[in-house]
Amino acid sequence: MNLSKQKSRNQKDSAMAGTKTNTIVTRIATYSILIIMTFLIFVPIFWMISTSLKTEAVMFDTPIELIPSDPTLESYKNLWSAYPFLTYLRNSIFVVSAATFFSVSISTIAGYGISRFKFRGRSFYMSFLLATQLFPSIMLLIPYYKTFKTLNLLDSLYGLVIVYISFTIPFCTWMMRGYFNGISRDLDQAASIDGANRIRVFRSVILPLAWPGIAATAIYAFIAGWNEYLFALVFINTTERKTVSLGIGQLIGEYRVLWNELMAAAFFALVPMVIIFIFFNRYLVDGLAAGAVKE
Amino acid sequence: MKSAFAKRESRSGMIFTIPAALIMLGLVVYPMLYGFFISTQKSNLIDKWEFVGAKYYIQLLTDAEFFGTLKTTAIFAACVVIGNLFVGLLLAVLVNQKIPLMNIFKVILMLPWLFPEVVVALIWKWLFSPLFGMFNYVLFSLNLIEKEVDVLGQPGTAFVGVVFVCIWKGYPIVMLMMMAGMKNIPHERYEAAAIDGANKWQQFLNVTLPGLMPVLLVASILETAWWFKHFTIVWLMTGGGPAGATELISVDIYLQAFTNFNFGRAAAESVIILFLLMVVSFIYSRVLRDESQ
Amino acid sequence: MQLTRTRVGISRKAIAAGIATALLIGGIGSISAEAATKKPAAKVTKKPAAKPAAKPAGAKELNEFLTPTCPAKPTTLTIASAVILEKPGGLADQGNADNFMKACPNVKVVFIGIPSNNLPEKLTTMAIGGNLPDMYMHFTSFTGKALQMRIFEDLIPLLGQDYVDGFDPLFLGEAIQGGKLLWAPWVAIPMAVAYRKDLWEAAGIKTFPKTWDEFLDVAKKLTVDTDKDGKMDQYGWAMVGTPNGSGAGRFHSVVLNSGAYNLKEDTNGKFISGASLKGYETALQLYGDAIKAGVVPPGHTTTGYPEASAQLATGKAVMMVTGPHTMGIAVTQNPSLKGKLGGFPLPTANGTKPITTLGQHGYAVSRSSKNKEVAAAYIKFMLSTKQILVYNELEYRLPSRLKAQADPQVAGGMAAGFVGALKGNVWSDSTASFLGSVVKVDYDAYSEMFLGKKTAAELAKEADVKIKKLIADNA
Repeated sequence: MNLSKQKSRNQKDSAMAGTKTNTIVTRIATYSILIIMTFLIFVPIFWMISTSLKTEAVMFDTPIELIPSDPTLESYKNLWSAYPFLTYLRNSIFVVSAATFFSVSISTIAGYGISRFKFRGRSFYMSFLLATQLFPSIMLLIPYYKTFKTLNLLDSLYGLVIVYISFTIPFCTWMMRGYFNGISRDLDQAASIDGANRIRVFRSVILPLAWPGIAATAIYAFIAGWNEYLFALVFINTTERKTVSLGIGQLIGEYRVLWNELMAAAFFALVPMVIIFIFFNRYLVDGLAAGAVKE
Repeated sequence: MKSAFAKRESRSGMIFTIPAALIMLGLVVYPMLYGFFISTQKSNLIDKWEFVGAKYYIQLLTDAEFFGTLKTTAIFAACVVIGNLFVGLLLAVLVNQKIPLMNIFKVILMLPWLFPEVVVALIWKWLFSPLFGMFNYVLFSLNLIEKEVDVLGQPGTAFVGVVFVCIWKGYPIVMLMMMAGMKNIPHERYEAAAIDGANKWQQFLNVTLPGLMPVLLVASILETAWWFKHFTIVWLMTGGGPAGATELISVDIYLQAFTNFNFGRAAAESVIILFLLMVVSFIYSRVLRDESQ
Repeated sequence: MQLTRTRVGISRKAIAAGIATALLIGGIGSISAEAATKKPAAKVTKKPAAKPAAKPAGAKELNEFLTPTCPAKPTTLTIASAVILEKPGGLADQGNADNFMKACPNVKVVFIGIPSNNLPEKLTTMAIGGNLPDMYMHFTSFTGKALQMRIFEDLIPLLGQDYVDGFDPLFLGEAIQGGKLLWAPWVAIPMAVAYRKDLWEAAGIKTFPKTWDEFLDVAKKLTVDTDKDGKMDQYGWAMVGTPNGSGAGRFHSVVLNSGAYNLKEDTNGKFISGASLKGYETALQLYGDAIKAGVVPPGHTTTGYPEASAQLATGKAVMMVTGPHTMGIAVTQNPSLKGKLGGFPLPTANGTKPITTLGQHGYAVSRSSKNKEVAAAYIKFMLSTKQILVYNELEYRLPSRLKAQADPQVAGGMAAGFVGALKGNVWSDSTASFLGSVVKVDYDAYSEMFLGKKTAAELAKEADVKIKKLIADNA
């Protein structure tokens, strides 16, 4: 430690002189990297939108058209007329919101418990949560199915909510634990000395500081549920209970991939996610501001 | 000989953690035990059960092909995890600066995460299509290539291709974890470092990285578990080919269970993976914990 | 190695013996228009002359089975289907249900649409969970599993022997196991070569290739730079080179027609590997040579079935080893192709009689169903000449019912070449539970061949070792 401090002191003078150019260089580097990344992200999105605006004949024509010369909304229309995508959307929003809410609530509490208390079986508990992530999920399919049949929860949106809760709890708990570990214990202790019990400390002191972590965790849980396919496929039979990911999956036929409709559906599924994400992103920023004020 | 304080601690800890434990017990432990059970059975899973002991384990552990698949899977997972951690951390640090436009980049950089894996795999496959894809078309237009490049058709490029796509899809979650983690590094530490004359890079090494250790540990363990078991993107893009270059263990499990109807063997493979990943996690936690101290 | 009658998997004596004898007498399983116009030679029945399958269906036949016996109580019939999600085939499935519900207003037909890629996991899970719908779509690749799970209901008592006799015996040969009819065959897609007549004529080719060497020569002639820009834009062969079932199925057809096979059961019910036969190596060599000769469009290792049919539809390629349904897909993609597609039997190693595969699918009734009678009525309804021809018109698939086969719509037109392919020998895949892994051995072999690092002989040897190991592991 001492050594490195000394070293950095020695560098101080030269650093001071070069601060201005340094900042500019850093900024140029930052923006270049971010612009390259943005480009890499938008290439497939661009191709997706471009494809969704083509007819099947144009799609398979060479030389290909990067931007369709004669764009058409046909695939979007087909999607609306042939599949009840609005119903899929409603189902997805219900299932995923409910699962996210419960999963994040339970995980936040559990994450706090692991982070703050020493109790018997604590390390076992953590390994146990971890171990649940290490088993290939395809092998969970049949036992889940049997259990849910007994509980009469097959072909039910509530059943799917439970599945998604169980899938996301381990990661969410680990993430919240990591987050709570970063919040100083002094705060708990200060509040405890004031006479507050642990639950009140948690609710009124720690929770407000934890919003960025909770928001990040919630985004994870939401996306994981939104994109889940395999269990939804096996559990849901009725068209009226299908989710968006099932709607997308059924466009991939054995004989024909309906690329343009598939891309339209993917684009369509993306929009609510982006809206929700932008909303939560503000929370991330707000959470930061709140934390800063308290400190 | 416990103090009253320790007892209370213990009780509070349990109260906080019990709800999650109950759910996981019911929904994950039972299926895992069931998995252990069927790995010792030759069965149709309905009304025919025959105990075969360690037969499937022995079969697997003496199978050179199984080890080949494990090796491919390990290299694949290592590449994707390292890629994700590197890209995720780099971008998190970059967008965490207080300079203009960062809020917009935060949203843009998260976009790949919002796509379902199925869609990611198919868009890229469609993009790489030698005849109808944009990739070859652009390279042609720029006169960079003479002949169509079949990215997913050559073992080397196919492997790089699927790893690239998996990183494309996978880095945002690491980035998000890092962003959340960085918010909990107290400002004073940076200020102290700045007073000491540390430049940005030194601040990163001495303040950010140690502060992120707990999150990094979680991220590395979970990322390794996820990508080691990965199925969808690779299955849809290459189906394990060409010539087994991208053949992952989960592809084999799927094949054994649902194509060959050999659940015993599929379950045995899953159990082996479970133990392998446990060992890896243990090593991680040792290494990373030591480093942060 | 000559295969006179290649039937693996149906070692069950009772029917097999009967059918096989009848088929041998009848000139090996012919269901061509020719056979149909003569007499139902290729059929096992105690009353050989009973079936008036000879003439094209008249009005009376068209309306047969269109007035089902409806249940007294309101009933919901659930059907798991993959076709319902496909285009254009789904229209046929939906049409059957709609018309049936019109005929029986107190029946509600509810489909469970399952993407065909996900059929194995969903059907298997439902079966193990004891939760199968009344009817489910059956593919022959599922037979082994379904037998192990014992989820089939024997359809012979349900449909009646007389009715069962109206199926093409070739279809029954796969669908009857142990004397039980496990599913009601619907349609088949006999493997042959689909080709673009217009491009074929443009290249001035007169005769169909009889051997694989000729096939390769024709493919070379069809590979041209039509717009003379120095870049090939039309290729001879739309090869499905992806490492998956649809690629392997086509490769195996080439293997069969080179005089080998991957796996079969001998007369004692023991599994034997056919990869040690010379034909396996020849087939691999052909795949390698075709790539080297540049007659396959770029990207062959990632060209799956959908991509290859798109190549055919857009004229990027001229020939494709496939079934008649590909024409349906191509015409849907490019309606101007109507009448411009055709098929011819697969070439063979030395110009002998080609071997095809049926690739049939149909509907099974689950043993646990409570609506078996309604299911039977539905099956008869959907297999009525009128309804089955709707599916045929959409996708050119070959109907399972002899009467429908005799219809000019089936035997004539674009599908004629495929119907003709059934005049050769028919191969049925083994019902071995580990067939999936054998299929993987096949696709691993040609994938390696594409890399060009090993010779065909080495790869055939490796494949043989792997198949033998699978047989031993699963003994």
